[in-house]
Amino acid sequence: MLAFLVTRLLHAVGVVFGVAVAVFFLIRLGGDPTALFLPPEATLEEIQRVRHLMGFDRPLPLQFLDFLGNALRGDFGLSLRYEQPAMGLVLERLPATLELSAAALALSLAIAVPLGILTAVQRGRVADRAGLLFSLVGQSFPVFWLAIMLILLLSETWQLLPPSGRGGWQNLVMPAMALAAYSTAIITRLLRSSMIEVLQSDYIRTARSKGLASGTVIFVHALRNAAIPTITVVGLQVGALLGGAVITEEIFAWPGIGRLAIQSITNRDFTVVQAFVVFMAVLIVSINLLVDILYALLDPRIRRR
Amino acid sequence: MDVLRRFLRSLPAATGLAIVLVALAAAILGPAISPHDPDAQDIMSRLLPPLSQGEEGAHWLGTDALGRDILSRLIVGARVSMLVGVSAMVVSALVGVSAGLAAGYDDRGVGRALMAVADVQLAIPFLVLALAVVAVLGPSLLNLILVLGVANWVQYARVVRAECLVLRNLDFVLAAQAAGTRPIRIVTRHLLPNVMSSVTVISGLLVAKMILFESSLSFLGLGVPPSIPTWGAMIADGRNYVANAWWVAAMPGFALFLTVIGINLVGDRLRDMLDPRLSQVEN
Amino acid sequence: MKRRDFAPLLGSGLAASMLAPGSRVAAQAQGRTLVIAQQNDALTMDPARHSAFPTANVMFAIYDGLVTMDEKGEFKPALALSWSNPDPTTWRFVLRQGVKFHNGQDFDANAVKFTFDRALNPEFRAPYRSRIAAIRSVQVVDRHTVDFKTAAPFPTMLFSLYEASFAAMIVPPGEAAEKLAATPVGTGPFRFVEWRRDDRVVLEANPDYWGGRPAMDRVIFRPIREPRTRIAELRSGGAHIVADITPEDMPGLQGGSTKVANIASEFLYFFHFDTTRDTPLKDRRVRQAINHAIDVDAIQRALLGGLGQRIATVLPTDAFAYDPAWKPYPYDPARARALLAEAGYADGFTIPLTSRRGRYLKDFEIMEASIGYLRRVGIRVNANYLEPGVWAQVSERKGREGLIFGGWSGRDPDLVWYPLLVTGQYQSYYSNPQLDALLQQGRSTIDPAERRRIYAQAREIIHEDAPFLPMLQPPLLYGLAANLDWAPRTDGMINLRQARFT
Repeated sequence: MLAFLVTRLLHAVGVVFGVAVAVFFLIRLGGDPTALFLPPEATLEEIQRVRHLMGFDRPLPLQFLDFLGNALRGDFGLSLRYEQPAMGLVLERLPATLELSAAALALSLAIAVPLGILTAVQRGRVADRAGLLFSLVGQSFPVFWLAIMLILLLSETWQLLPPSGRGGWQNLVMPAMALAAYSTAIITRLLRSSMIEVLQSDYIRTARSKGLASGTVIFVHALRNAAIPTITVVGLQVGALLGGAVITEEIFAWPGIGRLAIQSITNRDFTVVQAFVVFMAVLIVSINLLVDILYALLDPRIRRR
Repeated sequence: MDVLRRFLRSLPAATGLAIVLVALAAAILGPAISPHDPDAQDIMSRLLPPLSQGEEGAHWLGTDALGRDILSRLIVGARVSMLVGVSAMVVSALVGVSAGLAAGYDDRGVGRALMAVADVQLAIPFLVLALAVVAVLGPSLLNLILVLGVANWVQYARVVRAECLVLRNLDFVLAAQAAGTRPIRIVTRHLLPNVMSSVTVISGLLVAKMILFESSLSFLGLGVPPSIPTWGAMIADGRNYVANAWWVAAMPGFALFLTVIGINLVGDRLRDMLDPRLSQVEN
Repeated sequence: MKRRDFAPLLGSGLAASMLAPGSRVAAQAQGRTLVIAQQNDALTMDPARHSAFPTANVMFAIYDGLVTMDEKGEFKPALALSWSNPDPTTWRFVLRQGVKFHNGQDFDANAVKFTFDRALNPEFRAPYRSRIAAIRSVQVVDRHTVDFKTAAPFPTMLFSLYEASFAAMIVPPGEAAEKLAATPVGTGPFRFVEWRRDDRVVLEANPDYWGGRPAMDRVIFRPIREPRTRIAELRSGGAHIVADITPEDMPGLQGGSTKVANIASEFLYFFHFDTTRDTPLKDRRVRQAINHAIDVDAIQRALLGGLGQRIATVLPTDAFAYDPAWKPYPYDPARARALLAEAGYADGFTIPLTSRRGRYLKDFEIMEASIGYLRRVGIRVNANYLEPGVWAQVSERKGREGLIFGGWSGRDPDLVWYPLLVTGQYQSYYSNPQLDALLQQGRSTIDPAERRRIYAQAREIIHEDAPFLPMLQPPLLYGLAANLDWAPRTDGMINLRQARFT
């Protein structure tokens, strides 16, 4: 198990490095942001002068070495727009995004796990069909459409919930619902199909024929095995929730990382994009590491290599 | 034929297939069956409600903000949406399943390298990737398909690999290995069929997800060139009118919604049929 | 997880949403708080370190300029009481006395000098430096008098010194830039309280404001990107001024607890023709034909609900030297086709369109509608809507092609025509030596009568040679709480000095 952990950890470090290299060049493919920082009437000379002051006229490899050297020391530079430490800006918004993602994930799991089991056990019956329909609807709406409908209905028409901003739990309800819809559907469906497969498998039949209570069979034996592919997807969904909260945060004016990300990408705020992407990479890689460890725990055959 | 008859035995699947066929017909026939020129504008008859009578015939689903016929744009938009959805899914599936099988069968060497690339890719937020592509190559249909395809292969790869890691240790695979069967044969004969049910489930979801992704990118202004009608772009543009002309966004929204449900119903049924263990029980 | 675990969860969620409205009402009851929802958050709290209007709106509540603009667009005294020109290259300002910064420091000529020296220093990288770059030096005459020296006569000086020239807001001398960027200290009607990035900027009334204590106790600026969300905030009482709504939203907001304010902005919608490349646009008759081919009045009626202001030349109607007698080309598709045939394009041609989209009210719809009109006279347009960053790169290599919809603003011909039309200017895609000479003359004198005469001549040439298709000043639309007394301005700056609840 220790060797397994060490290799996974080394792998994780390598991935983050790869991401840092990739994002540095990726974001620069589209050219530098000098002109975006100046008003429309800025002259060409003005643009070139500012470009020089910002150091964007230096050779790319040199800029890259600078970035790498500083990043290794934990310094991601100042945001080009805000002129504040880039990583600080990202971390400052972390609580908001974590709050939203955690709420959405909790909501997803709270609905998807029981629903997945229910639909699998009740396969073909009314409960199954209703559950499937529910998840179909959930995954067939564009997030922004769902978000706007929620606002129209719950805020504008019925005035039940505040339409935007972060504050009390009231502010959290709609964004979490919008964000959770897709993950809920996807987890439900995957859990259902895995459960069905497992329930047909020989060892479950054996367990059943040996007279084990069906509750025990479902929750102890079947769920444990059905969880393997599901956990992969939940792991992916966590990343998607954190990174994909962009639209939800944008619509509900939620001051999280997603909003910072889309703004810094469109503004070409390189330093913030780099800080954001590296930070996300660390986060996602950590989650993947966790998923791998969970695998190993659930299925001992995997860690024996 | 027998397969088809078996497929149609399920009412939801038949409904799903009907929906998908209608969408495909619209995508293939496109301009030939659209009642109006989808680009013809008449800003004097903009935002007409469904069933309105225009100067050049009825607008069954109303008109949009520029007075263009929504039904015609839906029909033409089906082509782009389906093309984006299906092509991007195929790109993802080809890359992802191959990588997943390779990595699942042999998780040293090539397999490990592939999963490392997957991890790097997965750790880069999709939007950063999309923006870089849009910025460098310009917004075009091909670029959009590539970016969506590339952004989603990892999902296949990881699920396929995870299943292979389990399958690899099952008796029938071990037996085949012991008998000296070539790896490529083990992968195609023993592993591939056993991951197909997951792949089918993912594919169904993914076509739908790609179409939704396209609309999200349009929402952020990073989709296909705005002059090409797509359902996603139509919803995104129409959202500004939801308060007083709901049909502008609701019609493409409904088309999208129905199509996604249709695709999923078909996907579900295919999965049931593809997996012998499951269909056995059902009969 | 067992099945019974999730039922209470769902239940509590439902119960929770039922409880919401009460707490919401309670939150609004405290003091006279004004909430403004705009698209974007402030980028910094340093007035000279940004080029964004949402930031400027926050700054304008905290800071003052030397001069200000009233609702009619007239320059009025602010921190300067009066101004004069001792000679054509000197602008002398007599300053208001007894004004204090929020930190207690006195406002005087040194503050003015410090402000401009700071912003003019190239190392400081003030994005709006170009707007004040004509100022050669600022000289302190006495404690309450300053001279602005320019190298050549600079007729548009006041446009460089009022609040929409962002770097001209007066900052206290001796403040370090880093400190100002976090905790702004101005002379304005509101004092800085707190800034939670991407969430809110909170300000409180400055009881000692030289212009009188503002009616609001607190002001909160909130960034809300999505138009529907902003409107939902307005309707549910969470915001009192909501910027950038659309004409379609107006009927729903007029009446009840909300209302709408609208004004024609000084922003300009127009097509700019690329005459530098070898395309049909090189031919004046083609450019005139395009002017005849698009029914701008119909576009204004249909897409903007008749709001905004039709323009006869690329200049706001309230700009210096604008003559109401000027008329645009009339909509006349037959004439357009005839002109095209005359130019040898009876079968039409294909031309690119270079633009961005979604930046200003209905810009995309207006471009698409224009393309529709051009199609009817045989001109096929390949629209190329660029992402803003790409647009900047393309512009830098002078790569805007065909029909260009770039947008511009400025209430003086020198601010609009000079950069857009003079040969070799960065944003110019046109060359006409005769016009160059006139526009050069126009900026070389500060005599208004002389300048009017020059620009009347220039307008003749511009109209005849048609390097533009002038369209509209789009409206600025705000959703307001019905009990709020507040007026919008043509330049889009939000002035809260007179805002009050009735």
